[in-house]
Amino acid sequence: MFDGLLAGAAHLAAPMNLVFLVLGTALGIVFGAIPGLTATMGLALLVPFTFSMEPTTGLLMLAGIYVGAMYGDAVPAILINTPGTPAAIATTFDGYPLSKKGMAQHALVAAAFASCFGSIVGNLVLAGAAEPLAEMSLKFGPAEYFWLGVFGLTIISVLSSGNLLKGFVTATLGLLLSSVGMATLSGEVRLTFGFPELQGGIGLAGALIGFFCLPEILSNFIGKRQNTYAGTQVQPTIAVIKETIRDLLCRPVLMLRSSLIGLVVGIAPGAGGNIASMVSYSEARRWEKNPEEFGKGTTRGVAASEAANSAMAPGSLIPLLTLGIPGSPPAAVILGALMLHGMQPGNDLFVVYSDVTYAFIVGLLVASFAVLVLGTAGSFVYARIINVPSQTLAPLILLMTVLGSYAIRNNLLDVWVMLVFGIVGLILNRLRFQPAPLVLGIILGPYIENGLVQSMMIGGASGSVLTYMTLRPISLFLIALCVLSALGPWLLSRRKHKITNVNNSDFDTENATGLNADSIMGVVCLAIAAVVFFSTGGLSQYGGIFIRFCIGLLLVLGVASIVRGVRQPQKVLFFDSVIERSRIIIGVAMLALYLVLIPIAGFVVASLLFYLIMSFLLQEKAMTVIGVVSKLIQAVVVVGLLYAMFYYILQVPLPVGQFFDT
Amino acid sequence: MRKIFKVLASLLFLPSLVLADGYPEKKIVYQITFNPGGGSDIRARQQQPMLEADLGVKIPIQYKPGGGGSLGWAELVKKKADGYFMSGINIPHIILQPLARDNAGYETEQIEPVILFQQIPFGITVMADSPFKTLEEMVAYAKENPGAVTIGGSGTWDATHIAHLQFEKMTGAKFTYVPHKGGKPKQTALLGGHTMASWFGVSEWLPYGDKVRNLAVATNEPVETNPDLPTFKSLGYDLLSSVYHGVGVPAGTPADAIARLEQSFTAIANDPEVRARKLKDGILPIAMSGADAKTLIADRKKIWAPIVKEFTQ
Repeated sequence: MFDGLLAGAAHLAAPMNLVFLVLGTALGIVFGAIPGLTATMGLALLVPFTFSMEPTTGLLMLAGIYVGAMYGDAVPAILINTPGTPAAIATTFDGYPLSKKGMAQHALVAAAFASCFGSIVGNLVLAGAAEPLAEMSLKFGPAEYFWLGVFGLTIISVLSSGNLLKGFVTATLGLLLSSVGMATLSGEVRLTFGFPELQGGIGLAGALIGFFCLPEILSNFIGKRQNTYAGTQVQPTIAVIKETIRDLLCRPVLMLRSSLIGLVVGIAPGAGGNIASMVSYSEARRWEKNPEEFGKGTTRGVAASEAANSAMAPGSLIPLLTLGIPGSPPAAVILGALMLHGMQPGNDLFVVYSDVTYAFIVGLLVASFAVLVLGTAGSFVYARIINVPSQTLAPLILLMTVLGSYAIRNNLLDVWVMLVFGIVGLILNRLRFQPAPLVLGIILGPYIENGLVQSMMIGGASGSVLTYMTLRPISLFLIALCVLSALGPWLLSRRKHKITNVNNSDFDTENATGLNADSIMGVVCLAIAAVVFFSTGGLSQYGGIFIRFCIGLLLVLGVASIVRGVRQPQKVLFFDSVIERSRIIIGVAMLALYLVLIPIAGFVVASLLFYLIMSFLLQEKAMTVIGVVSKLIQAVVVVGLLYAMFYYILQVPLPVGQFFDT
Repeated sequence: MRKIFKVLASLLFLPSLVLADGYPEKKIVYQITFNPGGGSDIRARQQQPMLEADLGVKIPIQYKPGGGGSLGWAELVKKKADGYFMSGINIPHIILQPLARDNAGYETEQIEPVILFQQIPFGITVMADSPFKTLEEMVAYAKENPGAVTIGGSGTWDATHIAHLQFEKMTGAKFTYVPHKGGKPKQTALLGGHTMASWFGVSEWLPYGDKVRNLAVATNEPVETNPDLPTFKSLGYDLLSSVYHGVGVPAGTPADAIARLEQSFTAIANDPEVRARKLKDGILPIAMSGADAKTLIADRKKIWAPIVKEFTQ
């Protein structure tokens, strides 16, 4: 193995290889950082370029992209509360609060350092113990995935401390959303309400942007007219880099634990960074001495999430390189690239092509350091993004939300879904519900549903479904984790009952004219349960079991919410003022008009108009002639650049409009 | 009745059949109905430079994944039938989706096949240490223990599922069919011992070498990669199962545009280097003309329609 690693390292001495590796890493950071673009897409677009390269050079570039993207997604998560990819959801929990405190650079450096650390740990394991761990990946069957999904759901208890009921309500809605479209296993079409385009299901990119990004913009920029995104100014310094890294180095247990969690989740085929960073974050919160700091902005939270999703990447390559089984969607693209260069995973890779394979592994290691360098150096630039005045930044981010939710499937309906989610997200925020459990539900739904349905089939064939699902080593381990995880906070809360009550009271502002959040949500739950029940009557046993399970949960949670709302009314004020309300309504209306205009007038015209109108709406003072001209130039440049990037480079077919269609 | 109306409607909107002499005059969009980086994408990206050289125009690749390809095919049939929009097509997908779903967003007849350029035959595969040494042993065991044998497949109403239903009808034995989210999870499930047997394509079993054993393949003649492997036919079951990949355009596209595209794709499909690479990966290189593809689609539809009807009601 060491001979192999040395031979692999020799490849990296060639300047050309090193250049492409670093170039790939930088590109990966960009792909990760733009919501809607993913590592998978970046890899896929770059694979054809590697045709004309030496296999080693091509693979090194792909290695860079993969590692870079695992860090890049943290940048928008920290700065604008929008995970660049689903793997960075947990990064927003502490990253964005840090930005709000004016500590964006701390968060960015923590993310870069943790990504580098996680990646190194993962790669060392990949280089040293790929073979024995590959066997472990095969042990994951339907029952294991079911329990992994259920365990994932118990994280809600950590995410929504203080209000478990609210967390479960939103998570169940997320589970239901995950079942929209064609059922993966039974092939039945569910809950599309007559839109054939919904057969592809709810796009995760649209959900992330809708639930995380849009409510912030609607609320802070458009509603409150906040001057800058996070409300604070950042002055990046070198001292921050030293301080942040020193802080994290004092937490070796946290860093190692997060990396190992990421690694194990990566090895399980099909489960990717989305789950890894969530599990790691909640474990960090569970085991740390001061858990109350989590969620309010601590670099430890950012590090837990980023170390895990970066360690996931090499983990997912373990079953890929040894067995040809991709542990994550990006790994599947790397498999395609290997095959294109005539290399078949399995023994071949470590025997016949061992020097290319080890060059790839060493490349991943070197890319980890490239991430650290590019990330810390880049923190000086990125951190300043949130200093940009909101009149300039908000219209740009709004354009990006539209492009991001459109680009991944080239589907305008996805953008409408994004807008609806944005409005729902805003309402949920105002009713004091968190978006994270909902998105967690969307992500985990398929694992739970497919695991359950396949277990029923296979268990049925072997005699007993229950025995099949429980009496297996990994299943038993996961069940134990679920029980511990579910009971843990309950036991803790009994001990610290009084303290939590005091903590919660700060947002329980009694207001006679406010809305009763729990009762409203309870009624909504019951209504949704009824609609879903009556529109899914004709489903088969396997196609309907998960939905019926969700309906049952909704009924119970809905009644519980209403009871709670009546017994402990928690009144919330929906809008701070009439002005805020009208501003938000106008903002939403503008977005809706924009979406209506896109297919008619085309992307360019519609976007120019939208950008200009939003800029003027957000302007407080009367504008001078020079101001108007500069806004015009700004609009043309921004829309032009976005169009060039998406249409020409990424080849996304942006709508040209009815007037210009030739 | 609605289906007939739709087909009629699509005929009404036929564009002018007169085509400029110089086809193609501008870029031709090549749509992929699956995710970037998947098999369909990588294949199209291999063809892309050769197509651009032959046709002399840009061939941008666009993605429209979702619904097992149906979103993309629904998009295809909505496009102007002028020869400037084509899409990767898969058989049996484009036959089975409209049969099995109330509204797949398109009808099979709204897609005009240009060429089918490769074929992946399917068969039943078990692990090397499986007690089933032959297909007959497996069938006999399943007859004694109805439902006890689990066979994995890639999904519902895809090539593996329809082959499985046909096979059950022919043998009269009852198996438990376990669908997966595509080919890779199905392979993992067999390797991990979660399913006892599985419907594998040649390209899927080849990489696993001696770790797996194939029981039979559903082709007319033995396959080149495994010449000793019996066909279902030779064992007395009249089963043919393959996935075909090709390219289609919206119905009503001018004939000379289709002919030009077919010529270009056929040249690529017959390229010795392209053929050799496919064979190495366990894919049969073919170059089936659009007309032959239409016949194949019609034949398969006749066999499958009653089966789908039986199981969806």
